[in-house]
Amino acid sequence: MTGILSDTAVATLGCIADRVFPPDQECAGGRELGVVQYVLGQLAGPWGQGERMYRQPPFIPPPHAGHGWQSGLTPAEAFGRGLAAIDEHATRQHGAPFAALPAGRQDQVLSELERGAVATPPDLDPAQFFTLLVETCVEGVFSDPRYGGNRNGEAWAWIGFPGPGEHAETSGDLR
Amino acid sequence: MSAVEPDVIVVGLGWVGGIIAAELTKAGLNVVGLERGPDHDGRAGAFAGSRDELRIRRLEHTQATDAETWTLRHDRNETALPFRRAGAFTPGTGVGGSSLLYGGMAWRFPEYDFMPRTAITARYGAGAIPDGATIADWGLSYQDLAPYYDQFERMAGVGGRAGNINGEIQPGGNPFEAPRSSDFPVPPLRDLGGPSLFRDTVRRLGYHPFPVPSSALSTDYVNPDGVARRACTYCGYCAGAPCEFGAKADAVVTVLPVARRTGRFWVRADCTVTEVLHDGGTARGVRYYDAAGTRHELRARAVVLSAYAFSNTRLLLNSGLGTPYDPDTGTGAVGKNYGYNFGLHSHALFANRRFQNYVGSPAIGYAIAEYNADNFDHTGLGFLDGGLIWTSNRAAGPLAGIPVPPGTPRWGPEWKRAIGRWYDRFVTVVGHGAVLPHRDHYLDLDPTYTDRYGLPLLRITFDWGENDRRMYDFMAGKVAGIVAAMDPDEVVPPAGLPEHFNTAAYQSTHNTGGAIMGPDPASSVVSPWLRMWDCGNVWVAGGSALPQGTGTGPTGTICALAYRAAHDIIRTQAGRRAA
Repeated sequence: MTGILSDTAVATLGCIADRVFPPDQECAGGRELGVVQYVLGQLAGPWGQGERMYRQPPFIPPPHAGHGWQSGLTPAEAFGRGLAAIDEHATRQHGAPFAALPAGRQDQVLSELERGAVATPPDLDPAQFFTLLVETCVEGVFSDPRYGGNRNGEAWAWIGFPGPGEHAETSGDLR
Repeated sequence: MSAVEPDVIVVGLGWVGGIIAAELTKAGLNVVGLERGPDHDGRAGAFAGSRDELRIRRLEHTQATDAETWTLRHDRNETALPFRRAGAFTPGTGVGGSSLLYGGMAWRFPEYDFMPRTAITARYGAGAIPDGATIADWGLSYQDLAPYYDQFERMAGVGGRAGNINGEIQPGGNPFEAPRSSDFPVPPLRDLGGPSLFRDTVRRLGYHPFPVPSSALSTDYVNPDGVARRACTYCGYCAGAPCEFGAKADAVVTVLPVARRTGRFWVRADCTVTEVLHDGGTARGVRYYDAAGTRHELRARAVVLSAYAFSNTRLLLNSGLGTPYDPDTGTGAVGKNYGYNFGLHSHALFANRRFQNYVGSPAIGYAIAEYNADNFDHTGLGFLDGGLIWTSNRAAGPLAGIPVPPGTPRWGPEWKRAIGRWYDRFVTVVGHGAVLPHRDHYLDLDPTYTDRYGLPLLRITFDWGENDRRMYDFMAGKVAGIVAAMDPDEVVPPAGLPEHFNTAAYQSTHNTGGAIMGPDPASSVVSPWLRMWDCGNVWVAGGSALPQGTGTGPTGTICALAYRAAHDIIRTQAGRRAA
């Protein structure tokens, strides 16, 4: 898994994990739950490497929001370029790399990305990357612990999801 | 050896290919089944580990879009762009196909769906049909199909409560359903918290709720083929994943083993059929690529296309079989009447109640049919047709999305607090809506993008239309009324139809049309037996045959039509076999 993301990108990702799913009294944050390990594993694996993704050209920027992902970038490539763009934006607009900013500023940067107000390479739409980023972090929180996140099933225990099981005897209603 | 030139080639081994292969081999025909994806022969453990939200999100068992995908343009002025990943719909691949992934609902269509043009004209006048809507009668009636619905339901072990037995309305069933000759072969599944609340609420409002008919078994069951399956464990992972227990009926656990044990069925998996070989009015066989990329030709006396609506239509177009639809003149039928449906969801949130939404499946719940098809008077409403409304426990776990009150951010501390507070405290009311066929909604070959073999991809021309938007608003209003009557603490209303159909957001895998049936060869591709008018030893079976999108899920009807087509294939082919 070394080399999937640069050290800087990994540091940025760890901070993002804690902004998407912050630590609090009730449940550990994304970083502690293992979101970074989860993401690295996914990016190195078939999904992250673009397996089963249609990557034939031409890549045409879609005229509106009805066409989904039209970039030729794999998720791994998108993460690499997107995290670098976040860091450049943080440095330029907020005075320091993302990992060095206070939490409130980090939230601001992420909100700017969400609104499409962060400069990204031409084949990476900022709002689409934001969605990919948040969804992947959330997967890292709530997927099966075997994938590297959701440490010891703590996120499942916190919300009260029992994981895969058989429920033939339950009424399906807890008052 | 029979496998070298079988009687019949079946292309695509999902529900339809599986049903046809089983019926044909039971009748003594030799069948080779070609399947683009991998084999799953149903031995114990074939689907071990399927109960995993991430595997579902990664679209395991869904068509591999790198090898073959579809393009879509919203109208003829737009350039079609490819689905680089599946999104709005997720057809399956591999032996079992989409039957591995469906939620398990097993409906019959109401009588209206078989003759919509006649029904609309009789009730509202011919002027009620909007300009451009290519609504067409099927050429067969519900009664023609009823015995085959019976056959499918007994094979799959469909559970429910009949609403109409031989014309007599039954309490607790769907009073709008078409008559059946007997009750379901299996009782309905258990009443769960959320669906029970829906049932009680809609009853108070004057609706007639009934159990969703489900192919997930409520009891252990042995079907007429002798296939024994165990009862559903309510594990919650039906949608998007194959059933590890064999409780949800799919082709792998029901019909394909029946075909295999005849000794007259050969499966060639990882083989992609690219063309039907034919001389004008007679097919000779197919051309396909194996896993190593070697090209083969296989001859047979008959060919069945059962490769899903999209691949069926694309095969016809790439083979030069039938006449491609011309949207300017309306001539030709291959590719026309692409059909679909929309889905809408509203969540009722309750601060002090948990519903265990992870128990059960999308097919375990209650539905109402008051706003389906032509079950209500459309006068003055500005739209035709309709859809079912239901509540089931549709989500297995947190990655399916945790409903939170409107205005909650999508990330961060406020979001985390909200999901901690509201997880599993919701009931979802779902609506379905039929998309009318239209002269500008059709399938053809893309001029730019190709598959891994260099053959043109299928291009879909489609967008939401006026009928959809008016129907959506109407259904959303009815759903809002039901949700309000539940007296929730918070409500997440339906999101609305976006300006353009979004290829990335899951909507429904009920893609239909492209090789529609009809009584008239000039305006349809196949007869009501699903035999091609232009090529008498080719059958094109599946959702491609349905002339319109429907408010009722099409799986049960597609399977019943497959049984009926098998009957036609057997009677025409059995007599032609060499001794």
